[in-house]
Amino acid sequence: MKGIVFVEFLEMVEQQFSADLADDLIDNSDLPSGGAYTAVGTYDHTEIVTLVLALSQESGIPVPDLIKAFGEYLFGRFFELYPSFFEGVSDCMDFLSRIEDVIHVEVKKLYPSAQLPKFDIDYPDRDHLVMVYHSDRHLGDLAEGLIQQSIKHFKEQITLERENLDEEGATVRFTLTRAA
Amino acid sequence: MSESPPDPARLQRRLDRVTRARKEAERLLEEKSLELYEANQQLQAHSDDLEHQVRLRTQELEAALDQAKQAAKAKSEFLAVMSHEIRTPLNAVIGLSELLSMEELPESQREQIAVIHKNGQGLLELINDILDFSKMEARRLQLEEIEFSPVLEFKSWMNGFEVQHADRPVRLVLELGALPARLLGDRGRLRQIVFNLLSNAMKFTEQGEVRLSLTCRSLGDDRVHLTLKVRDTGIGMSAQQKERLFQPFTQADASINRRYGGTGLGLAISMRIAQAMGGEIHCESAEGVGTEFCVELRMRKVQERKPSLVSMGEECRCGGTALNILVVEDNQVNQMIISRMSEKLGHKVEVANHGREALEKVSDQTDIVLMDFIMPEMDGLECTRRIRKLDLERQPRIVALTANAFQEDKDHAREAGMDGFLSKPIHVEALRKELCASCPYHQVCEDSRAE
Repeated sequence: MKGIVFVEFLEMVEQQFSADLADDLIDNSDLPSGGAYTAVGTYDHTEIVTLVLALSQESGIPVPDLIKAFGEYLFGRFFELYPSFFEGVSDCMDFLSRIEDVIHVEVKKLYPSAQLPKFDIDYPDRDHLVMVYHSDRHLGDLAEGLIQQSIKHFKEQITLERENLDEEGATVRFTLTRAA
Repeated sequence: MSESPPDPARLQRRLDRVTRARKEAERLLEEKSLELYEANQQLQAHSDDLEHQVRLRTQELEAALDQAKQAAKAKSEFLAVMSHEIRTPLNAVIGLSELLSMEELPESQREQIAVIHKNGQGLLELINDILDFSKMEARRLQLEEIEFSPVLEFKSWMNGFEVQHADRPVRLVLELGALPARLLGDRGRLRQIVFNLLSNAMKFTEQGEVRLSLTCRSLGDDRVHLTLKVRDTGIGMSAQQKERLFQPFTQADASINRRYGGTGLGLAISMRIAQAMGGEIHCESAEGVGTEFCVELRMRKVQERKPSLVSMGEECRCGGTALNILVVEDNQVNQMIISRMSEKLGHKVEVANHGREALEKVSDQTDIVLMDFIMPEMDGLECTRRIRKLDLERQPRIVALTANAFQEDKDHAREAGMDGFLSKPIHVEALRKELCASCPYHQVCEDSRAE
C-alpha cells in the first residue's frame, strides 16, 4: 500500500486526536516498518489494519466508522495534493465516473507498483451513477468515505446507497442518485 | 492527557522514526531519480535511433523515387522509339496497299489489297490507342485550340464512318441540333471520342441503328456546352459491366476480347479526353435493348467568322495546278509512297534523303516541302529553321510528316516554322487536301465556299 495512506492516516490521528496518540498507536503495534512512513514509500497493507484496530481500541470508535472518517479526510487531502485531477470537472458524478479510466490510469503512471481497487462504473445519465468496488483489501468503508466527501465537496444533493455484494466486503455496490 | 509534559523517550522515538522516514524517502527519491535518468537516456537513444531510421528510410525512398522516375522515363523513351519502329513498316503496308489500289487490278486482287489495307489500318489504330493512353497516363493531356465547323466535321466524320462500315446491316443516323457556325477546341480529340463511341456502338450492334446526336447550349459569353449522344440498339450491358466501363484494359467481360476485339482502352481514353475538356461521359444501358453514351463537353464558339486555312469535308475545286514538291524523308518506302501519290495527283516531286540534302535542293520554285521529323545528318526541325533563313524569292510551305502527332511535336514544328502536319501513314485524300492548301488558288476556293 502506498505510503501516502499511512502518512495521511497518522496526520489525521494527530489532528483529530493528538500527536501522542499517534505515537502510542505505533509504539503499541508491532509494525514491520516501525512506523517510519514516507509518502513515496510502499508498505504492507496489513499495517493500516493494525493501526486502525489500535485506534479503535484507544478511542472506542468502531472500525468501520473510523475508516469512513479517514476516507472523508483523505478526499480533502487528495484535493489539495492533486488539484490537476479536479480541473475541468463540473460535478461529483462527473468526477467519480472518471476514477477508473482517468485518475487510476494516471496514478499507475506515477506509481507503476501501486495496487488500486477496481471500480465498475455505470453512468447512464447525469443523475445516476453506479460504482461497484472490487478489492481484496476489503476497504469498502474507505471508498464510502471518499465518495461521501466527494458529494459534500461538490455541494450537491445526492443520495448514496451502499450494498455489500459479498460477505467479506470485497465487492460493494455504491448507487448515487441526484435528488430531484 | 494532552497537558502532561513531553516524555523525552517518546520524543526520541518520534525523532528516530522521522529520521528513518526521511532516509527512506531520500533513498526512494535517489532510486526514482536514477530510474528517470535511465529512462531518459533510453528515450534519447530511442529517439536518435528513430531519427537515424527516418534518415535511412528517406534516403531509400529518394533512391526508389529516382529509380521509378528513371524507369518511367525509360518507358516513355522506349514507347516513343517503338512507336516509330512499329509505325514505319506499318505505314509502308498501308501506304503501298493504298497505292496499289489505285492501279488497274483484277477484282480478286483489289479485294485482297483492301483487306491488307483495312487490317493495317486496324493495327495502327490499336497501336495508337495504346501509345495514346500511355501518354495520357504519363502526363496531363494537352488540348489544342483549333477553329472548326461542327456541322462540316460531324458530317464528314459520319460519312467516313459510314464508308468504313458499309458492309454492316446497321443504319447510321446523324442528328444535329442548332450549332454555332464555328467552334474553338481540339477537333482531333473530339473526333477521337466520336469514333471511339461509334466504333463501340457498331461493334456491339448486330442490327437496327446507331444514332449520333449533337446539341449545343450557350453558357453566356462565348462558352458553349455540347451534348453528344451515341445510342445503339445493340446487346447492352448489365449494371455490373457498366461499373467497370471506363477502367483501362477492361472490357465488359473477358470473352468480349476474343469475340469483338479491341484493346479496351477506347472508353478510358475518351473519358480522359472528355474530362480534360471540362466534361464527362455517362452511360445508360439495358441488356438486350441497347446502350446510350452521353458526352458532356465545354468548348468556345468563334464569334466572328475567320477564313480557315485547313478545309475538311468538302471538295476543293482548285485541283489541277501542278506543284513542285520536295519530299524530305530518309525511309525509302515512304519516299516511294509519297512520291507516287503526289505524282498521281499531278504534281512534280523531288526527293531529299535528309535535311542537309534538302537545303541543297530547295529553291524559289519549290511550292511545298514535305518534311520528316527524324532523319540522319539533319533532322526536320533544324532543316526547317535553316530553310526559313534562306534568302529565297518565295518561301515554300513546309508540312511536317509525323508518325506520332503528339502535341509537343506540333508545338516544336510550329516554332521551327512549319505550316502544317500530315500524319503517317499518308493517305491520298489527306495529301490531296494538304497540297490543295498550298495551291495558289486555294484561298479563292475557300472564299467561294464560304458564301
